[in-house]
Parts: sequence; structure tokens; C-alpha cells
Amino acid sequence: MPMAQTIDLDIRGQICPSCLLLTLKELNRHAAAIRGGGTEIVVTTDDRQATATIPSTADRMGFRTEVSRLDGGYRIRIFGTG
Amino acid sequence: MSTALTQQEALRYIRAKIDQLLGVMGTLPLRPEELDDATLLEIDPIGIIADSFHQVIAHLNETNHRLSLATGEIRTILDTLGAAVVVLDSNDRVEDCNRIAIEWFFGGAARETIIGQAANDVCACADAIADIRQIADRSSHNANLHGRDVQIVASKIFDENGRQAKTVMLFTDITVQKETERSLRLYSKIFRQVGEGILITDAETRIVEVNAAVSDILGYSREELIGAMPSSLKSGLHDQSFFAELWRQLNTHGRWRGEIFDRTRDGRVIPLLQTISAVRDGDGRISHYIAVMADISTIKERQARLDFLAHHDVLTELPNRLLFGDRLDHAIDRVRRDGDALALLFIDLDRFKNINDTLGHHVGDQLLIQASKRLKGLVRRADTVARLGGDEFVVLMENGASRDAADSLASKIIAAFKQPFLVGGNDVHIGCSIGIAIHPADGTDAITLLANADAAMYRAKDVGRDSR
Repeated sequence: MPMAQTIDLDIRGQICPSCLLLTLKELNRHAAAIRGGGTEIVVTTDDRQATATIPSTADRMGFRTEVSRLDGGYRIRIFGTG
Repeated sequence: MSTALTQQEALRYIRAKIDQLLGVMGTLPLRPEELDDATLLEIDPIGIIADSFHQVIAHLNETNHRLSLATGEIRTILDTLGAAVVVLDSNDRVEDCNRIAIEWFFGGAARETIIGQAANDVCACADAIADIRQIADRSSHNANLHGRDVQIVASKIFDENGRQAKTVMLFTDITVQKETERSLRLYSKIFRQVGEGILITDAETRIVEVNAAVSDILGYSREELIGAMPSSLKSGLHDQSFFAELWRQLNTHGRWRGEIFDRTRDGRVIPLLQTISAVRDGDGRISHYIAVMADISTIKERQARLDFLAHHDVLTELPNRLLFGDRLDHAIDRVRRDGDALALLFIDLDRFKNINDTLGHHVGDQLLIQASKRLKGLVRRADTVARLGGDEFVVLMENGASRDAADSLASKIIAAFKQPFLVGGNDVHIGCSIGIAIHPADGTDAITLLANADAAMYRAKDVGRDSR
């Protein structure tokens, strides 16, 4: 299902825990919209550790994630379960 | 010592607390070169993490709520399940069980008195259950527990370290299924071994199954009969009305019973006693016909033999007094109606008693057999030769009988009986005396005619043997 709104968060150049903190900040801000199912955050990062910490934390908060490989980095899609 | 913190001390404290929280989040500590103090305060990591924790806790609460509902749902499913469920931990303690399990294995005790207890302490068949737990592999095993036939499927559940944490065992009561299987095996054995042939057709009368007895009776193999129509066994001895009545009874009463002639594989026609029943399905439609058949050839032959013996002399196989009397009565009726005549020749063997006394009854019997054959060889096909008993024979002449014809036959008989009989290698000489009675001259009823023929025979014997 296409999302009504996709929030792109490019944090290339950052390393954990900054990656996690910046993602959480954005996630906290749009939590309700994401849970509702109409909004998603797409994180672009070149920090490999972020592909573990961000999905793990987002999962504990009740979000779903998808990690895919990009040229020279990673794409982490965070969306709601609704 | 001053209690006021310097800015550096406060920042170190904040960084330490942030690192502590990040540790809880499962990530690395915050390095100063990564985030300078000004940026640290600007992005407010503690606020971010606190908000995130708030969401984690909200998510946990929701998860717990869903888990609680799911647990209740599972409990309801387990307790309404028609099978028993027992969950054992790795030490054979009961972790959970459903309502049926409590009833079957735990004597109806309260669940809370069972949970956490060693299975051995609360269940009489714990050893059997523990044995099954040892070999739990999701495949099914059958066992008899407390007199109940059960099918058991046991599944292992492993913890995150790959250790077997518990075993879920599902017990399904298959007592009825087992009884059904036993019944089916018995019915199958009866079907195979019963002496009567059982032939089953579908609603279109195509043969779908036969037992071995059908093959024995009809000579066709099972493979030859399956798919064939019973009409292929027709003997041709029954007309259309016979089968119309058979079907009328089958359709009206659901059953037909009677004798039917069928043709065997080698072309013989045999009598079968058959009961054909219509079998209806749940909707009342005929689904099958079942024919139970017995070959009654032997019974028929025996009946025919008994019937023959009731009307014939056992030794000579000539009609006996009973049959002769019947034929004489009919003959009298006919000649009364047609105005024709009939003649009776009463024949008594001469010197027969001497043969019996000197050469024995066996020779006497053989002589009677030969005498009867000789008599039959002298009369016409339409005439009746009967043995009334002992050495007394009688010939009933019909169709154009007259005194002259009777005299002529008597002369032939006397001449024939003067010839010796070869019995047991000996020539045996006898003779005969014959008395004749003619209807209507010598009587118009059977008793009078026989009495007069008998009297005439004695007069002839008085005159001299070999006379009439």
C-alpha cells in the first residue's frame, strides 16, 4: 500500500549512537502518524551498526522495519503495524 | 567541600546518564568527539530516549493486553477442545492442561492443584505420558490410557538456547474409531469367509464388489465380475414378467427373496436362493443393491430324489403303490370322459419265495430289478409298470387298451419270464401268473379293478403257474 507521507531522513556521515538518537527524535515526533499507517520514515545511513540498533529499538517501540542495501549505504524503512 | 556542580561536572554527569540509557537501548556510548557539548544539549538525547521509553512501555502494555486476550482465547479453545492437552516441562512437571485432560488423567481435580506438580504425583498414567514425552516428535502414537484408546501427538518446544523447555501433548480419543475399525475388520472377515455369496452393485446395478463365495458359486473371478452387470449371468429360464415382479418388490418393499436360475462361467445353469436388498443413502436415494446368494443345486437334487423316493420303489425305481394309485385314478377319470378302455395286468412272480429262501435276499433283490427291467421292455411308453410290493407288479394299459391287447401283452410277459434270469452268475428260473381286469367290464373304480385283477391272478395261479 503506498504511504500518504514518506519522511526521508538522510543521516549519512553520522555514526551510532547519533544515528539512533536522530532517528528516535524523528520517530517520536511522528509516532502517532506512523502507527496510524499513513506515514513512514525512510532512513538513509552509511553506518552498518545503525542497521542493527535502529530496527531493534523501533521493534521494541512497536514499529516494523525493513532494511535494504543501497549503493554505499543502507536504507531503513520504519512503518506502523496498522 | 562545595556541593555546587561545575558545568564540566554537570556535562560529564549528563553524558554518563545518556550512556547508561543508550546501554539499555543496546547501543554504544556517546563519544565526545561525535557530539560536542553544545550539540548534546541542543538535541536533548535524554528527552529523546525518555520519549522512546514511553513508547516502548506503551507498546509493552499493549502487547501484554493482547497477550492476556490471546491467553484467554487459547484457554477457551483448549477447554472446549474435544481432546486432552497436557504441557509438561523438562522435569515432567505439569505446566498446563485443559478441561478434558483434568477429566481423563487428573481425576477431575482443580487445575491450580495440578499445575506445577510433578506429573507422577497427580496422574496415574504419568509414566506412560513421560515415556511419550521422551519420544515427542510430532508424529502420532496410539496408546491405551485408563482404558481409553487415544492417539497422541507430542511436540517439543525449545527455548532461545535450543534446549527442550516443554512438551505439548495432544490426546485424541479414538475409542469409537478403534471400535469402528474392529467392527470393520470383523465385517470384512465375515464378508470374505461367509459361505453365502455376497454381490454388491451400485444404483445402476453395476457390480462393485463380490466375496469369494460368489466366485466359488459362479466360477467367475472377482476381477471378471467387478464392473459387469448381473444381467450377464442370466440363464434365460426366466421371462420378463419374472424380472418385472422382482423389480416391483425391490422398489416397493426394498427387498426381493426367491429362487433364480443363473448361468455359471462354464455354462451350467444353477438354482440360487437369493435375497436382494436395496440400500439407501442419507437422502433416501438408492445407493447400492446387495444380493446374498446360496447355491441350492444340492438341496434341489436332494428334494427331487426325496420326491422320487416318495413315489417310487427304492429297489426297482418303478412307480410305487402311491403313484400307481394316482395314475390309475387319473386314467379312470380320462376313460370315463373319453369312453375309452383301460386294462390292468396284475403280475405275481412264481417261485420267488424259494429264490429268496435258497439263494438269499440279495439274489432276490437282483432278480426283482431284472424282472422290472424286463417288464418295462415289454410295455408301451404310455403304459405304466409299478411294483406294489414283494413280488407283485402291475401294468396299467391306456390309450386303446382292450382285452385282446391285454391278453397279448400277458402272453408276451409270461413268455419273457419263462426265460431264465442271469443273477450272480446263475441262471435263475421263475415264471409269473397274471390276472387281467378291464374297465368298465371288470369294474369302474380303482379298488374294484385292482381287486378283480388280483383275484384273476390267483385264479390263474390255481390253474397252474405261467398262466393268466
